[in-house]
Amino acid sequence: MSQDLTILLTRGLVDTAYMVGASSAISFLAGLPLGVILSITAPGGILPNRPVYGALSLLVNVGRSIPFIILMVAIIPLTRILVGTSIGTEAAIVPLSVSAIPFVGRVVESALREIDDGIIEAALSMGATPLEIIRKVLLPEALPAIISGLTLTVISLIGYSAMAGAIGGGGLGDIAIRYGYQRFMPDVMLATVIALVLMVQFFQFAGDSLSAKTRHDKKG
Amino acid sequence: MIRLDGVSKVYRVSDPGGTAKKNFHALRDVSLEIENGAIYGIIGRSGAGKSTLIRCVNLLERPSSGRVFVNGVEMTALGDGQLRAARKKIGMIFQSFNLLANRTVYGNIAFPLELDRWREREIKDRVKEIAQLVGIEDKLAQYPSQLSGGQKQRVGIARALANRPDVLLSDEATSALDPQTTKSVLGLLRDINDKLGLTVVLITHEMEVIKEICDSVAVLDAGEVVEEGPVLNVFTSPLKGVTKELLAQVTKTQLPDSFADLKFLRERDSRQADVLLQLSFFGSAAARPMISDLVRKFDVDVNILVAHIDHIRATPYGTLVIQISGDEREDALDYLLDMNLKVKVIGYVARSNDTAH
Repeated sequence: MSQDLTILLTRGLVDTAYMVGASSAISFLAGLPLGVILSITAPGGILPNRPVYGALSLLVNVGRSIPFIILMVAIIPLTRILVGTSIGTEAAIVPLSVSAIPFVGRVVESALREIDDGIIEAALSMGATPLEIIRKVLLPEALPAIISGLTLTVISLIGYSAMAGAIGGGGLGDIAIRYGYQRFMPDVMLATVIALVLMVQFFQFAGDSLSAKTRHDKKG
Repeated sequence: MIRLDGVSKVYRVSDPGGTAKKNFHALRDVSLEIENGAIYGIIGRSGAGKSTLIRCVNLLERPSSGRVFVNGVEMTALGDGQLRAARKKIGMIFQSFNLLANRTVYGNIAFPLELDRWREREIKDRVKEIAQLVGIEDKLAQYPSQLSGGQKQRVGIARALANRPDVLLSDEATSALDPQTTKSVLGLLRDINDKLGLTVVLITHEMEVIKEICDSVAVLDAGEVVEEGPVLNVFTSPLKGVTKELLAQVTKTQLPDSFADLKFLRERDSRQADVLLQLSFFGSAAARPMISDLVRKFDVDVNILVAHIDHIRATPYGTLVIQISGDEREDALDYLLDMNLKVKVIGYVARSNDTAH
């Protein structure tokens, strides 16, 4: 393997990290409030609201049922508006984020739903406001589950980012297609696969240990 | 003082199998007055409406009709913000403890104080003080999952008391605990009631709990208060069937199965009949050697079938089921009726029947 190839792979790794990092950050920031609103407006939540819950839930379901490869193409106009181009690493961040936001929303919603109603009732009995319940009860109590869910999101985004590479998004997927597949360079293909596996392993490990560290509801 | 004024709660429930909605009356026109500083028990079987009733005090459940007053404030008339402020002065503990799993013991006790915007310095002092009161000062750095049930409930009590409430609501707080832990937690509640003078309202399905710490008791059945009064009165002269049933848990006055085939006679003055009666006594009457008095004064034999003697707080009380035979049994009965005892003639049984043991 030449020096050029090493530079190429490093470049791909950085691009992938950038795409995944940025789209993860955006989807967490948008998905967290989405999940909170879903959970509190759900029937039996602390501020039940059927129309809001129904509308958001529908939106999330629609978002999640569109295959990523189709979503990527379908929202090209939106991508153009937001980043000025539909090709390249930055352009890939838009569909990646859009596809991950509903996922994060559901992950957060289900994490919050796991919290015992009794704990919420106890907080209400102490005169907590809905906002205080969200900030001091729901989110801290669900933190380990949320971290696990976010880990899952990051790993899915690594996979999707490789797919974005196929339509000129850059990154490891792009390199694997253009060099490994189209130019018959199996060593490049292998190198990108190893890099992706290592990335996934790293995030899974980091996520698991962070989740365990914040979890105190088990003995020991 | 806590006052419930004609409180009713109606739920709309769907008919099983059908689409029609039905009204379910969880509470029907409940009126209660609870004195400041009292330990007031509400007892009933499961489904009697106890949980709904206690939640109507701090309005976790809003009554469908009726009014609730706590210390002169009409809770049912408060807006959201005022209600939250009022709740900060009403502590509550739960059967399942409901502690925050991801906060330490310290964090749990500090929680209501954070909600009430206390300064960090003051929170620290108060948490230490209250942890000492309930005996968990060495557990502050631990998480609830590391504690036993009794310790968890002590944390729950500490959390409920941290903000110096006037009222403590206890929702089956000892039902998940073993008998010994139950005793120590109840002892703690009584201690706190003595020391801090706060009013305790508790719900339970166990007469033992009422007997152990309550001053007054209300018996709830199908959403209605069927009996109410000082514990001693209700214990020694229960009026309603539900009460008697619940009391049977602690007094065991029912005849053992071996007496089930006793032949009861209609005629009280049958020459063949023995009198079977139940005596309840409490206070000084319990100290009198009543049975030997009876045998000495009259020409009768007394056979004790069931006996139960216990204490409510410091007052002894007991129940006896005795069988009196002999020529002067009617005189003996009159004598007993004259004494300061609660006497209930269960019936007359045929002497010839060899059933007495």
